[in-house]
Amino acid sequence: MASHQPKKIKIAVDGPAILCITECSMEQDQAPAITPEEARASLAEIDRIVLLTRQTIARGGSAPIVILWGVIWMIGYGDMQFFPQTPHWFWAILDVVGIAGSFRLGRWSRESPVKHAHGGRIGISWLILFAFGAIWFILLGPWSLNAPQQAKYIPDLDRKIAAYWATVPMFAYVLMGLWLDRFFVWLGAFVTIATLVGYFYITGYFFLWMAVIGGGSLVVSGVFIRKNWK
Amino acid sequence: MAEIDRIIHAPARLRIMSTLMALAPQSQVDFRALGKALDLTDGNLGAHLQTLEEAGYIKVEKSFVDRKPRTHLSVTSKGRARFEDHVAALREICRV
Repeated sequence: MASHQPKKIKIAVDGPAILCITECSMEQDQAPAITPEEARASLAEIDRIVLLTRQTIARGGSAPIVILWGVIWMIGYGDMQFFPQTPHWFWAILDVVGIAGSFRLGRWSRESPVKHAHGGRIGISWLILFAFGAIWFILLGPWSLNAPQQAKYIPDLDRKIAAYWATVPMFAYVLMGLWLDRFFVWLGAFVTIATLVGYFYITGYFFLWMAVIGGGSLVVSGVFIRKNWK
Repeated sequence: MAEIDRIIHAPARLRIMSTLMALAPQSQVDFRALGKALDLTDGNLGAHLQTLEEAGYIKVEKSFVDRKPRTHLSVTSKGRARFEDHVAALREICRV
C-alpha cells in the first residue's frame, strides 16, 4: 500500500535546491494504488474522450455537405415525381452542383482543429464508395439499349436506379455509425428499409417518397452532426 | 506485466493523452481546440502539456498560420506505448 507519511522532496527553483515538506498520497517511485472502480472509471473516460475526438474529426465540414446533398435529393427526386419528362441530365447538373458545393464547403472547414497526417481519410472513403458504386452502375446498367427498349425490357429502370443510389450512401452510414455514433446505424438501416418499402409498395409515389425520406434523412443527419458532434 | 503510469494517470493528462491517442499517428491537434474540448484553461493545459512533453510522451510544435502563432500537439511513439501500457494495466486491475 502507498505510504501516507509526509515525504521530503527536492525541488529545483532556478538555483540551489531547496527542501520542502509536502503531503504525498503516494510514493514518488511507485505506481499509484488504484481500485477496480477507479480503473473502470478511467477506462470509461478514455472511451468517452476517444469517441468525442473521432466525432470531431469526422464532423470536419461534413454537416453542411450532408445537408446540401439532402436538399439536392429533395429537388432531384421531387422533380422526377412531379415533372417526369425532365431530361436525365437534370440530375447530372444537380450532381455537379453537389460536388462543386462539397469541395467549396470542404475548403471552408479548414479551421478544423486536427491536422491529419494522412489527409482527409473520411472524404477519400466517400469518394471510393461512390467510385465503386459508379463502376458497377456503369458495368451492369443496360446502356446499350435505347429508351424504348429499356422501357420494354427493364421496366421501372428509373426507380431501380433511384433506389440503388439511395442505398449506397446509407450502406456507408451504417458502417460509419459502427465506429462513430449508433445514430447513423439506425438512420442508414431505416432509410434502406424505407427505400425498399417504397420501391416495392409505393410505386406510384416512389420519387416523392425518396425526396422526403432520402433527402429528409440527409438533412436530419447533417443537423444532428452540427448539433451533437462538437 | 503492464504498469500504471503515474504521469498519465492524472485525470487531466489522461484526457489529453486519450484525445491525442484517438488521432492517427503523427496527426496533430491545435492547443486552443484541445483546451476548449477538454474544458481546460490555457494555463492549466500548458502545465499538463509541459509535464507530458518533459516525459517525452508528446511533441509540441509551434508555427505561424496567417501571421498568428499556433501550437500543435501530437503523441510520440514513446507516449503511445506508455498509454497502451497504462490502459492494459487498468484492464488488469478491473479483472482482479
